[in-house]
Amino acid sequence: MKILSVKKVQKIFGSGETAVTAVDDVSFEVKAREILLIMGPSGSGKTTLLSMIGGLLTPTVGSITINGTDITKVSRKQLAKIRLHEIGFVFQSFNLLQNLSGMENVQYVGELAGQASAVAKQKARELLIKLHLENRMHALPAQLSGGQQQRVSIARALMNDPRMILADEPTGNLDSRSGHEVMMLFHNIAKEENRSVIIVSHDQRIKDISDRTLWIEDGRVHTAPPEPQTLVRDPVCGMRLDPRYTPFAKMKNGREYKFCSKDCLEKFIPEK
Amino acid sequence: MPIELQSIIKTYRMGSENFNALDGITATIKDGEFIAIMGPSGSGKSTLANIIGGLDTPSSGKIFVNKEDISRAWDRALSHYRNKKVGFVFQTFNLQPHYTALENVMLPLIFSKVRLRARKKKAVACLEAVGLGDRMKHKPGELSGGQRQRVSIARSLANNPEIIIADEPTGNLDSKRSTEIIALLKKLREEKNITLIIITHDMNIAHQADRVIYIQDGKIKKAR
Ligand SMILES: Nc1ncnc2c1ncn2[C@@H]1O[C@H](COP(=O)(O)OP(=O)(O)OP(=O)(O)O)[C@@H](O)[C@H]1O
Ligand SMILES: Nc1ncnc2c1ncn2[C@@H]1O[C@H](COP(=O)(O)OP(=O)(O)OP(=O)(O)O)[C@@H](O)[C@H]1O
Ligand SMILES: [Mg+2]
Ligand SMILES: [Mg+2]
Repeated sequence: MKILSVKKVQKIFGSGETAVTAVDDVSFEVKAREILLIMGPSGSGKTTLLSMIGGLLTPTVGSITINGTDITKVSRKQLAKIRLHEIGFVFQSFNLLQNLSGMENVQYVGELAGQASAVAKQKARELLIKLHLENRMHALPAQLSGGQQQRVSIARALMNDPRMILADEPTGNLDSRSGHEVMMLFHNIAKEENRSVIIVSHDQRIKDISDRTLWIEDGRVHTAPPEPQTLVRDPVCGMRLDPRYTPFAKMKNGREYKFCSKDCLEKFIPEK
Repeated sequence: MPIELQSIIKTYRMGSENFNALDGITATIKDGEFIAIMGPSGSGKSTLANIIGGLDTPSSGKIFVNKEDISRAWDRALSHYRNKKVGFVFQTFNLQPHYTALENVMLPLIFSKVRLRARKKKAVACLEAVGLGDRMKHKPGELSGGQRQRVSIARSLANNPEIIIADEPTGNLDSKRSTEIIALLKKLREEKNITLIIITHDMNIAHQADRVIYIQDGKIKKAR
């Protein structure tokens, strides 16, 4: 089933000499259960594109249809409703409310969507625990590390069980282990709960869980460039690694295995 | 400049409990060394970077920079250190939203005796070095995430620092840009003998460092 359809979308910022065409004539579709990865150089238009899909920016030209509704044509009030119920957005720079604790930042979107306070609280708790924030969920954003804020922002995006999750660099501030866990979380949500996930990232490892990659350059869709080098797989966590730069290795039964961390190396039990 | 950390502890109060974000860090960083700091999210890396950069003070312990104890330094000496000796790249950029990229990079030079025209020239050169020659008049809100990150890197270079402390400087960059930025920092280090401290989750970067310090739960777990 088609969830999202982006048709001939263009976005121009500013006007005259300083005008920037950030997104230019982009079209694609996303189905339920699909994970789409969007990659491309810095400044190529990825965040701009994602913001338009999320209803945070209006395209200069083109249409964006979510579940049959063209969100470029609806009223502000309708758009706000779609954003709240159908879309979960993980911001590249977190965008947490500074005067609310991590817990409250997640809880309030549930309450906005009409959940009873106790229900929202319980749900927020569960999500934060899933993201390993059980000890830090009552801290303010300024008292959290970068990766902790990023995880609060991911929990918030999942709060209303949105049909579509839009995540902008969701692992940019996470170590390899937490990054991997977040990827698996998105993967399960898409495959087990029939939802669509669009991830903007430069992290090659996300290719492991995505169904398809869209490469954007200068605001336009291009065919993806070839992978820079052959990657090998960590036999414990399944992560793809660049063998040239991986210090954790072990010889076993005449074969060399590479690991993402010492932790995985120690956990490794080779098959007979 | 050599840096020596002696039993650094940083305690935060959370409700009625105290917890140590840094729990006894002792380490020596040699003049001109390139150190990578790695560790899980929340392990204390940024807290440590802030303390080394003079942006925060430890609850106990000492830091000697060039044999001078900056944890005991009075405000004037500390701000001299922060503004003249250190170039700091923030994990979350910390740019001034109302100023253009160029103005943001020029800001740290206000306290130097450099004339306006020279300040501008220097800031332009730093922005060009990070590939932002065509975005100098944009404000942070008009820049992409990676572009903002590069403004923050350009700003850290503007005052010709002797120590560069970069907290996740490539977290928002594609691999090509990331490689360029690290090459730029390494070149500066070779030319000017800058001490380079980079916090990163990226193995490719850690691999290029002279030494890697792994932090877990506020302690040094191991060092390579
Ligand atoms: N409000 C704005 N006004 C003017 N130009 C803008 C504005 N917002 C973004 N741009 C420009 O549009 C282009 C695309 O920006 P966008 O944030 O979509 O890039 P991106 O692909 O997400 O990059 P990154 O990987 O660095 O986050 C950039 O060149 C940026 O400078
Ligand atoms: N102002 C503060 N008040 C209370 N706790 C804080 C404060 N600042 C940081 N912390 C806590 O101290 C711990 C260390 O934080 P720090 O920012 O140093 O982690 P980090 O290693 O940089 O993590 P990341 O990789 O996620 O950026 C975290 O658990 C964080 O929640
Ligand atoms: Mg972006
Ligand atoms: Mg940090």
